[in-house]
Amino acid sequence: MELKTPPSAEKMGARILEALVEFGADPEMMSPEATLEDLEIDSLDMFELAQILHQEYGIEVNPDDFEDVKTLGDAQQVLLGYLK
Amino acid sequence: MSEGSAAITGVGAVTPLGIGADTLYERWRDGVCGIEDGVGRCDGFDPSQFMSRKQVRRTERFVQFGTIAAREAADQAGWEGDEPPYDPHRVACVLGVSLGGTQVLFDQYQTLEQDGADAVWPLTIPVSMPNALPAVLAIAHGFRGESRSIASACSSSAQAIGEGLRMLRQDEADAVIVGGAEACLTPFILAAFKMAGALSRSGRCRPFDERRDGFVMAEGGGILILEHEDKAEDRGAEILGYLSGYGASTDGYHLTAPAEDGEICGYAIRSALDDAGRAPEEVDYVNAHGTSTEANDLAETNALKVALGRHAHEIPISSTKSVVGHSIGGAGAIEAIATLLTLRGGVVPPTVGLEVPGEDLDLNYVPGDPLPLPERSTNGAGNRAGRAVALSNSFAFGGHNAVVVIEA
Repeated sequence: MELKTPPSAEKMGARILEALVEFGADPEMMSPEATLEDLEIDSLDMFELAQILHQEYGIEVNPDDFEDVKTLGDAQQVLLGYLK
Repeated sequence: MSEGSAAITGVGAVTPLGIGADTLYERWRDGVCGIEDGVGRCDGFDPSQFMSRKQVRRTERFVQFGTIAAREAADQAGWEGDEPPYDPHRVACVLGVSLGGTQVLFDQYQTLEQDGADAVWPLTIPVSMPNALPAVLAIAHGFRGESRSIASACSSSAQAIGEGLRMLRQDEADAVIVGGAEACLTPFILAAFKMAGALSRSGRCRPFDERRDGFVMAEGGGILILEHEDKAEDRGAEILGYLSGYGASTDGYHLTAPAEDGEICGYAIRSALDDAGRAPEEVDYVNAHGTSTEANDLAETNALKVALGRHAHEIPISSTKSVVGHSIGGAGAIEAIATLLTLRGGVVPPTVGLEVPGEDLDLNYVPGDPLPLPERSTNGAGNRAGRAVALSNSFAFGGHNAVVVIEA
């Protein structure tokens, strides 16, 4: 994987939260334990997030990696895993 | 219900006259015009007052109009929590739209040109698709019956209303959400209509006037809740009126112009009356398509004469477009609602802007002041079940003619 500008995990984690809030998720409810369902984050949000991560960091997100993702923490783990 | 009427139990509208069906009727009746600077824009409409940030972000303007109108209609119908009081699989939705989400499409086409394919917004299609409104309403209101959109230009939402009646009569549903919405006041669409010779050069909408010079583009939406009459009564719903007939025809003559003699449009009017079991003499009011184009207003006048004979001269006729302009896929629904509220209000709002009728336009188009419906309409004498009867006409680019009969 070619990274345009490899971000730190902290920076990318913050960018993910910022994007999800921009998509309409309630910032007050954001926590690693919060489920994507509770946050009303669905597959369309993940497509948008994937586009941002690709454009800003050159990361290619594979939708199959999110099959077992239930919580925001799970999602962040998968996404931050792309930095490794 | 193999034949007969559908009960109308709720209506909602967003128009250049404001939010709300009653606002539409009352402001029109009072002669208020929502057209400014040559367009009928829903100024001041703020979807964030009614929808979450996420919903607003994921919907085009036409879907927002329809969403707000549907909520008003569901509230009026007494649908608790805005959800239908029937098996969700027995609740359907048919909505009209002509062009759909044009703003997002054009914005994202520019993104493609400037930044490449990978920059195109992933939600472009779900947000702009013409069937976005029924999809969004299914999520909001929880119905699970058949849903779809109908695209037949200016007749789209009138055809959707007619389709809802058919579905109830064929026992395919207990309730159908019908109507339509449009929001395409973009520079590109305005230019395209202008170059097709359809738009008013003066920016004024003067249906049936000798100075009429084209229609005024507008935006807006209207939603009606149709229910099986017996089932609406059984659940104790207030029935606002009835959709008793639907008729349609196709000119097969020209892509944009109506046939001047009005024969084919007249066939749709007569079919609608036959479908409702009504004679021309029973019609108390006509809500005209009344676009303010040279061709429509003459063809529609002739169509009314073809369909109603001598009685055409005795019926008050007025055009809602005179105050809200032409919202294309939303027009038929907005005007059906205005028709219903005219019958309920007992006062025919005027064709605003009409001063001197054009050549060969010799019917009663209600210029100037509102006109009380004739007494026989409101006291029920001579009318089945004491109802007043009205027609709402829609004639479209493409030659699609659709007429609904509304009673109250």
